[in-house]
Amino acid sequence: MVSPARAGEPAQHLRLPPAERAAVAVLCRLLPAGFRNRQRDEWTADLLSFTSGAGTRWRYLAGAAWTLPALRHAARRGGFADLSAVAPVPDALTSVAHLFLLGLGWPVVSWLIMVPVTYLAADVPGRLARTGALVDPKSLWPADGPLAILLPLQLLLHTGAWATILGGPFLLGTFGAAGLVSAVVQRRRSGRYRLVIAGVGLACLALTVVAGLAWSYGAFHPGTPDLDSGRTAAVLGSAAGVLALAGRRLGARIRIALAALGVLAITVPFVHLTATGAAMLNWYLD
Amino acid sequence: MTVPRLLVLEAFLDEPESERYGLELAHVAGLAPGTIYPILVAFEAAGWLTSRAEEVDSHVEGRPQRRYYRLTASGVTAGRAAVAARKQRTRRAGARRLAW
Repeated sequence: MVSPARAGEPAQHLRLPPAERAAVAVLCRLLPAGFRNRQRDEWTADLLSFTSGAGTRWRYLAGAAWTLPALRHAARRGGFADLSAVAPVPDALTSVAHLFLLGLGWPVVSWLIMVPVTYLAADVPGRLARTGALVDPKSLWPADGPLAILLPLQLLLHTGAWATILGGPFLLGTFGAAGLVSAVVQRRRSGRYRLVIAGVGLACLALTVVAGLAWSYGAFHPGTPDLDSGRTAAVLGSAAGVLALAGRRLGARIRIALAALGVLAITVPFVHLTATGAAMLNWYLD
Repeated sequence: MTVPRLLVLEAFLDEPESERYGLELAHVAGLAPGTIYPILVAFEAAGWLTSRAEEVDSHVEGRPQRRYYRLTASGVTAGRAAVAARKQRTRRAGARRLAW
């Protein structure tokens, strides 16, 4: 079956005819990604062994195509789909990345929308100059008629923006909420994994409640520390940036999102240090 | 256990210690070439076979490396049991036919 004449010749002279190579490529595309190279080598080696003509090779390919569903099923069932050169991303790394994207992304993006964007888009300085009256941030959102449907979104954005401004344990709360959301959404993960994530999320939320009570107490008692003004967000943003740079096994989109989020979070306290930033912060807090 | 699977097991059990590649096994088992890989992969997934890539220079050989398959200890045991069960069923069926 194996042609002795072919042994020892350079591989480039023994490549399959283009049509057969294309057929093998199509068949391989229908297999799990991690299993393709292995099976392509098997088929190609077999096809190159035939000396009895194209008809034999096409019959072989027909047989391979006929049994392809069974091969695909066996490869998946046997876990051979994970034989790819790229190692799977560790669960812990992915979980941390998701927690950062959701737990930090929610407050920081909320701050961006509710504070600088709303301040500038609604021309708050102009309104203040014209009327001299305070402009309530909540009044700038439509809440009448069918637009009342936006109220939950408004609440979500306000909560996030406040978490960024108050910082400290309040950002821990957004991470806790992110953990709970992850535990609910990631149905493909094991029950144990989801329980751990949910437990961590609940613990974070509990700490936030305690911190909230302490903060409420402090609000009525002078001498408590100043607002965080985004410093915790900046620290967490730096961590997100490090994760984006160091997490080479994460997907490109996740790393880009982490980097963008990191830059945005680091910017928050610096914005508050500018005259316009301080003005918009005061407006929002008032 | 399907007939093609039994044929593959019998081919392996003829020489349980030897390693064989897919096309060779298909010929020994009498299966159409190209149809044997789902069986080999399923057996490997079940732990009845181990496989390794051939240690040759593909440029020198003029083809990609083959994969050699070999029965594991559990594969030998399970394979013999499956083949024996099949033969027993065949004998019973034959006996019933004779009774008619």
